[in-house]
Amino acid sequence: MHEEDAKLVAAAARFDERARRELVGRLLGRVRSTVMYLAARSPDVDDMTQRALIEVLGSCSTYRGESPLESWAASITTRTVMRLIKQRRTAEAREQAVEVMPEYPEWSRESQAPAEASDQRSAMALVLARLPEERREAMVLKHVHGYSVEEIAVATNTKVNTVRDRLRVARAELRAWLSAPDSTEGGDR
Amino acid sequence: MSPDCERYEALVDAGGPSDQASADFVSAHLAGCADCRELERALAAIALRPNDDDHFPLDALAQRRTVDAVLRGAQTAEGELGAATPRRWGRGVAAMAAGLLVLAGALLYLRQGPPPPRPQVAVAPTVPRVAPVTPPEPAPPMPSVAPMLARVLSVSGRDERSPGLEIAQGTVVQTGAATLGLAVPGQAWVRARPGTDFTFAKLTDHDLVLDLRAGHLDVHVPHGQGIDLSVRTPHGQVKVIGTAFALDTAKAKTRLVVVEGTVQVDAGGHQSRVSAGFALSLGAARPSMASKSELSSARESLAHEQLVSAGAGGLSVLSGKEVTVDSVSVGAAPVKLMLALGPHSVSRLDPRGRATRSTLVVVSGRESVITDRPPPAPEKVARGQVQPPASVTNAGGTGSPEPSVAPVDTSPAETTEQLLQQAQEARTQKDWRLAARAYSAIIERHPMSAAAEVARLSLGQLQVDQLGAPGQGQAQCETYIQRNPSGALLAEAELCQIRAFARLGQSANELAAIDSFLARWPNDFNAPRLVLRRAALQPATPH
Repeated sequence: MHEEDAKLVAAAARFDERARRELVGRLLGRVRSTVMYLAARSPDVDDMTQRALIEVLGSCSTYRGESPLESWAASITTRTVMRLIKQRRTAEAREQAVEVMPEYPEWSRESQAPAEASDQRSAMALVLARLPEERREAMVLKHVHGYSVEEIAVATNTKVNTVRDRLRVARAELRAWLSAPDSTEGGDR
Repeated sequence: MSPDCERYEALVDAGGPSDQASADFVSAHLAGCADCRELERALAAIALRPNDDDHFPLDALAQRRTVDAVLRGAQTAEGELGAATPRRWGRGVAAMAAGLLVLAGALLYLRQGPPPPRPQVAVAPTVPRVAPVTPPEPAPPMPSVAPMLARVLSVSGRDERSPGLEIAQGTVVQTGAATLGLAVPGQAWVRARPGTDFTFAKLTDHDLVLDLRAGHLDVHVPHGQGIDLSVRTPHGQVKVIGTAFALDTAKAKTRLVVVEGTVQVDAGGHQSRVSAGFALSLGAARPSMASKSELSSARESLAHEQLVSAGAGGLSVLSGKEVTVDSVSVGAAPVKLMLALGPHSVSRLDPRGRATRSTLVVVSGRESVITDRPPPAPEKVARGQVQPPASVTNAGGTGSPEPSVAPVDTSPAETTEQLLQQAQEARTQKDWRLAARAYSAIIERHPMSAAAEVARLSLGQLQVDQLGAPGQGQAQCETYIQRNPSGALLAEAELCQIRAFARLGQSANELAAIDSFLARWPNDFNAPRLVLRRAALQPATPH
C-alpha cells in the first residue's frame, strides 16, 4: 500500500492547489519522457504532455494506492497519448487532400527524423517511433515502465499472448534495425 | 534469432530469471551474443527508474510554465469554479455554458454566414510548442552589422544574370522564368524558383531578413554559424537558426515545409514551431505532415546547394531538356553553375530526347560550355562507339594550358558508361566479383573521370559488404573521402568505412568514425542507430 501517494492524490482530487501542483511537478518529467518514447516524431510532444497530466489530475479520484503513483500515472499517460496519436492521424488524413505520408513514415532521405539522435535515449525514442502503435505501446509499458506482460494486457485491454506477440515482433524489428548492415544491396537507405 | 535468444527474451518477458540456473543462462548468453547484448543495452537506457525519471528534462522555467499550464488546463477541462464548488455542479454549469455557446454560435452563423476558419486552441497556449529534442543553439560569433553581399552561384533557365553576380542589401530580386541559387553570408543558401519576387531587407554576416512577396524560396541555414535568418511574407514570418525549409507564397497563403531542424513561425497573432518533416500553411494553428512531393522538392534544393560551390570554375550547359550534374537535377538548359574544381559528370536529354553524358574537369578561372554544336575537329571514334553529340569547350580561360575536358576514351576498352552498366547488371545478378572487376576497370582506365570516384566507393562497398574484404574496402572508402572532401557521396563513404571497421573488429576506429559521422550529419536517418552502436561500443555506464 502506498499511503503517502494515496494521501497526496486524494488531496489533489479534493482540488487542494498545493497537492495538485506537487503532483504535477513530481510526474512531469516521467510523463514527458513517456510521451517522448511514444511520440518522438510528433511536433505536439508538449501538448500531449499537458493533456496527459490533465488526464492524470482528472483521474485522481480513481487512485487507491494499490500501486506506485508513477506506475498508475504511466498507464493513464500511455492511454491518453495513444488516443491523441490516433485522433491526430485521423484529423490529418481528413485535412490532407494531397498525397500524405503515414504519421510515422519509414525513415528515408526524404523524411528525416525531426529531432537529432543526440544521445542514446533520443536515438531509442526515434527507433521506437518506427514501430507500429500497438507494438510501441507494449514496448514502452514493458521496457520504459517495467510493466509485466499481464499488467500490459490489462492496461491495453488485450490478451496476454497478444502482448507477448507484440513484444516479440517489436524486439525482432529493433534487432533487425540495430544490426542492419546498411549495405547498398537493399539496406534501409 | 537462435533458440537461446528466444529463451533469453522469454525470460525478459517473464520479468527476469527466477532461479540461479536461469540467471547463469542469461549471463552466459549475453556474454556470447552481441545482438542480445546490444538490445539489452538499448532497452536498459530507456528504463525509467525511481531516481532517474526525467530522460528529456526541461529547464526550470519551462517546467514551471508547464505545471501552471496544466493546472489551468485542468481547471478548464473539469469545469472547476474553485475548490469550494461541488464537482457535479461545476460540470453541470460547464455543460450549460457549452450549450449556450453552441446556441449563440448557431444564431451568429445564421445571421452572418460561416465565420473564417478559427485556429484550434492549444491546451496551453502560453507554453511554446517545442521539438522533441531541441539541439543546443550555437554560440553566436562576433556580430558585424556591416552589410554584406549575396552571390549568385547558379542560374537555370533563360536569364541575363550569371553566376558570380553579387547582390546587395535592399536589392529587389525577381527571378522571372529562371531559378537562382544564391550563397548568402554565413554559409546560408537560398534558392529562388521561377516567378519569385523578394528582397534582401537585411544582409549582414549574422542577421539575414528576406521579404518574400511571391513565389517559392528554399532556404538552408547551416548549424553552428550563429546565423539569425527570418523570411517575412504577407501571411507571417518564419525565423530559424540552423535549419532547412521551403516557403511558397501565393496570394491566398504561404506554405512552409521544414526539411531539417525546427523553425519558429509567427503568423496570425500566434507563434508556433514546426519540426522537420512537417508543413504549415501560415495562419493555420497546427502543422501537418509534409507530403512526399513537398519534401522531395525541398531536398532537391539541398542537393543543388551541395553541388554548386563559390570561388570555383564555371559550367554552362546551353542545350538539353533535363540536365543532371553529378546526379543532381539542375533543370532545363540553359544552365549556368559554379562548380567545385575537378571532374564532374553531366547528363542531359538532347532535343531529340536522347540521353547523353559527358565528363569534364572544371578548372579554376575557366568556363566550360556544353552545347549541341559539333565539336571543332572530328575526334577519333572507336568502332562501335557513338560519337558524343555534344561539344564541350572552354571559354574565358586565362593562363592555364590544361584542357578542362576529360579526354574522350578512344581505346578498345569499354567506356565508363559501358563499364558502369556492366557493373550494374552484375549487381542485379548478384555477381559481386564481376561487378567489382567492372568498377576496378573504370578506376584503372579512366582515373580522372568522375565515374572513377563513384566506382571507387561502389567497389569499397562491395568489398566490405559482399566480398569479405573489409580491409580493402576501407582503403577504397578512405581514398574516396580524401579525394572528395565535399563529394555528394561522402556520407555513404563514411558509413561504409564504419561498417568496414566493425567487420575488422577495430572498435576504436569505428568509434572515431561514428563520432565523425554524427558530428557532420546529426540528422541523418542512420544517426539513431549509430548513437546506439556507439553506446554499445563504449564501456557500460551506470544509469
